[in-house]
Amino acid sequence: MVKFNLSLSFSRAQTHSSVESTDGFRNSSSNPDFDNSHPKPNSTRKGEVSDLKMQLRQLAGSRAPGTDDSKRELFKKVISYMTIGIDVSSVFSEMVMCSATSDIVLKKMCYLYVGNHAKYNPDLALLTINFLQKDCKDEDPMIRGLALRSLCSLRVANLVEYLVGPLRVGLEDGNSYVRTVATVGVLKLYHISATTCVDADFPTKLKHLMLNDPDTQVVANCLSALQEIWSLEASKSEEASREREALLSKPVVYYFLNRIKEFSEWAQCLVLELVAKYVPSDSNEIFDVMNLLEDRLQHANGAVVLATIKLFLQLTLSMTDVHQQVYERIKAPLLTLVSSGSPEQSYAVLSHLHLLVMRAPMLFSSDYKHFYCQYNEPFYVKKLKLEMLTAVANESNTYEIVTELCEYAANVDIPIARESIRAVGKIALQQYDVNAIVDRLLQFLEMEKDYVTAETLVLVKDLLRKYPQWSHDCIAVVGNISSKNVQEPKAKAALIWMLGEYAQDMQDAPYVLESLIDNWEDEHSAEEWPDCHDPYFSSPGCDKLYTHAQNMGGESCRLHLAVIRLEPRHHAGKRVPHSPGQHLGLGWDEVRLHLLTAAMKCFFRRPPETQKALGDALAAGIADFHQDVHDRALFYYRLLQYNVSVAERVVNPPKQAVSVFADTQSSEIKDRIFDEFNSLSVVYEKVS
Amino acid sequence: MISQFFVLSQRGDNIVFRDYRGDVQKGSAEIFFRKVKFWKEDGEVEAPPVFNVDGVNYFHVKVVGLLFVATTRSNVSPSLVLELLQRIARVIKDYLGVLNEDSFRKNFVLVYELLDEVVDFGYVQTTSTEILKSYIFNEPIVVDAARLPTLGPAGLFMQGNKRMPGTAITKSVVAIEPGGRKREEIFVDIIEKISVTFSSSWAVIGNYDVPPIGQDYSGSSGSGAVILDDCNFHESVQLDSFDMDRTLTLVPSDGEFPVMNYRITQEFRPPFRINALIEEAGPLKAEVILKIRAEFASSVTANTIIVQMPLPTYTTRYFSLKLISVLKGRPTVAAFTLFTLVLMFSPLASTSFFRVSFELEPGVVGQMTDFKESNKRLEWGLKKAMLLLMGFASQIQF
Repeated sequence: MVKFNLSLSFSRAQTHSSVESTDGFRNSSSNPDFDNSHPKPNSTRKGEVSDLKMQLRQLAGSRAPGTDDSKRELFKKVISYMTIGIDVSSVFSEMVMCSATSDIVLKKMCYLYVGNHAKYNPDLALLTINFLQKDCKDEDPMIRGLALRSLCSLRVANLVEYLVGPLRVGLEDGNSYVRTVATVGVLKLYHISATTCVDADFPTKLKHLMLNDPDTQVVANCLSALQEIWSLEASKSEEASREREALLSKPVVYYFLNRIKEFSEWAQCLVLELVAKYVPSDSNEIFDVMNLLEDRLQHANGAVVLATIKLFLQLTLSMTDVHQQVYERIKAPLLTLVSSGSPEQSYAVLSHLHLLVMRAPMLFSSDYKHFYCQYNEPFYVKKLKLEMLTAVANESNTYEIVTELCEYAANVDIPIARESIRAVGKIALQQYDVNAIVDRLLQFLEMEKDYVTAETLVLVKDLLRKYPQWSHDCIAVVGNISSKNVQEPKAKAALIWMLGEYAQDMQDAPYVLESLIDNWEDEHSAEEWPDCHDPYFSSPGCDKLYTHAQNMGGESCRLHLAVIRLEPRHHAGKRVPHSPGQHLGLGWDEVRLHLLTAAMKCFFRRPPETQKALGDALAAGIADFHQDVHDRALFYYRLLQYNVSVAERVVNPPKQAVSVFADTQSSEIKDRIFDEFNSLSVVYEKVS
Repeated sequence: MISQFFVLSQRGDNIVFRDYRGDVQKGSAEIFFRKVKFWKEDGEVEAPPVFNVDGVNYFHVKVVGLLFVATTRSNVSPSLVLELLQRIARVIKDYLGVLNEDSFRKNFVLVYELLDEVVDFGYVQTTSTEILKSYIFNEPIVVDAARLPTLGPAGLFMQGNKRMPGTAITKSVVAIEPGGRKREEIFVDIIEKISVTFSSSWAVIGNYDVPPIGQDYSGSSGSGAVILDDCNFHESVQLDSFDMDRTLTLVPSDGEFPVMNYRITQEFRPPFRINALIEEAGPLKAEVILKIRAEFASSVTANTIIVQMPLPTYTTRYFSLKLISVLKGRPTVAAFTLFTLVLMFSPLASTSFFRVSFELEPGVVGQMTDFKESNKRLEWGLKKAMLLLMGFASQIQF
């Protein structure tokens, strides 16, 4: 069956009402001179910067008409150089001289420049204080605000004394724009000099503004500034930590909740975050808060929705029934967010959904179709969706999910095909409908694609460890695979393990092993040497020796290698983690270890056929340059010498089927990540 | 809160770079770009939108081929930052009219002006195009959208670009009309995304999954109730009478924004049906016949249809063989087109060359095909179609 995903987007109704015709668009008014405003940084820029310096100086005192326009062009050039990383700090004083202007666009560019360079030119920064302070008293609130913002952005410690006055005035300004800038300014001042900020009693002023200002952005900025200041101060003074607690007191939280709809969507996130830390006294309070905020779940901004969800989940943690209802309630908004917005936004939402799915798979089990992949989704979205499909699989939906996953396995997108096969395997390990899945997996082997075979072999091996009863069916198929078609170390190791484990059921197991042992050297080592995967060969000096040794070939080579190996050990300080084929999760040395063990197991079952192969394997293993391989071969050799039946008990004891594989994340970590809902911890799946 | 915001071109140049808090090193843009470009972790092929390098968290979204990046050292809400990046891109687009590298470079001073007001010391101040208008003094240098190399209909399928190419949406909110008059106009688009899986025999495979995403809601629907699974609204929408008569009231602010997103999962008739037949025509040759049937009334026109077909990696060339047939069947059927394409494959993918020659069916406007070499994908585009039956066939040679 062939599958095509047809995705289309077509405009069903393009309602279009306009006062006048919309045909034709505005003529381009682009300035041709400015097309190359972003020069390449590699050419000689020094001359051009000093050119700029000259031109700026000429313009500085000029009052001729059109000066501002020429200044604008020059300023633009300076800013564009700055953006691409050319050092323009040499024009600092000229920029400041040119800043005496009433042109607000020029002022803004100048402020931007000054803000970027003051930190590294503290002496020159002093030059700017004068005009910035003057601008802070300008009639136009816009200029006052801009100047105050730039003044606070200078980030020069010895200039803080000039900040306190304008900031104090700014906080009491009649214009809300200036107050908004001033509140953030206080926080900036705190980061430059905490003591100046605290001594000037700014936090108290912010607190007053926060609870009384009519402008919600001022209030929101006060909240963010105070949260930052008090959490940093809390370690130093008890008063600050009391103040931090006070932000979570009932009156403050209620004050914010009652005004929440006046806030911008971003400030709403801030408030929701704050309320999530609040502990209500009883369940009535919890229901009041949730009723008040329920409509936030219908917000188009995913950040608001997730912040609300976090709040709801936190509030109801101790109320199991309500908590379940919250899950039911948040499902639909989350699924809507996943399918709206950009793939990046869906990714963030999906990560959270993934966390929830892991906690309550049953809840999402009927929504599994939402996690089907669309052909044009990026890899990171598809991968999360596959993980979710794995998590929600249960008796009732496994058949559909596995059918869908099998479609992906034939996908042209190879990484996704691999992931899908792994997902099928994981579902099989969850014990649902194993019968059908094993059949599917075995069909994968018949697709005769290297990567499909490789992934499938690894899975079949894990399946056999859990469900030994399936060995008969699996082995029949696996036995038909030519080991030459298996190239990836992980898959090869899996195949070798099966050859050893089921030697009695696979007719030609000893002979396959034998041929693999014959190829001990030529394929594996040849691949790993040039990359110098071996930890002992990471220094350049060794490379030379190694080449020398390699040229000599044969036994003497081994000897040389042994010597080389010992040498860097003495001074190598730190060992490079060994990484042959590490990107595949398993190295070639692992393949050899598996080969040794498989040869042993095979020998115990079918000694006459395997004896020679085992001998070769042990000899090759003992001569191997890899320490672990060498040690294991020697160990097996001595064990066999000592007593064959003891060796059998050590190497091939009766095994119990594995019930749970150990690589699943502990539930404690999951709970801690859950506590950090709506943060990066969820995306990284790590606790902060 | 965020520490830095920057926009990188596809080659990794900074187009704008704004440092808000100064707690992340200056070279972050370079570190970021190198990491994204050479992303290889656990067999992943593409960097996820959020990752951490040496304690710095990097967020990025791709918009029109540009990378919008934010950095921070704190454990912030990932959706908040990604949403913000997307919103910044939209605000910039509202002001520039056309968002692309060229318009960006021409207007970077205006963009800096916007960035100053949108975020202060890492905290979002406002992303409302309307409010920002009173703080913006630069005039946009408008890039003529008509002069741009068009992305072709393919642009429609590019990630993050969900809309029809239109002329109305390429205007800046602050630019003044040539006549000095101000236009008051509203454009409403309804965009629905449908995802359907078909079996090889026209039938919709048992179950289908429909998450259409719409923007705006046109009030009560004429016939038959539409059951929305879920919906959400822009904050300017008043929902007071929504429960009673399904109307949304809003005073639209300037700029572009989704009024409403909705999601439906119910049975529906897909507008198209697709059917594919692959036959091995020889050891190195395969024939693919792809038929698409449009299933909407003949009074409806579909604009800009694109069919994409991924081809095997070893495809070296394909060419059209012949126009197979033109059918006239059912009374409403307008035409039926079938192409045959021959695709040549060579196991030695190094010597690949492509030749395209298509015979175009006169009943269809603006038909084109293209083979995307980078991702081995064949594209068949139609600017306009009223057909009820269409077909597309290709023959593949190995």
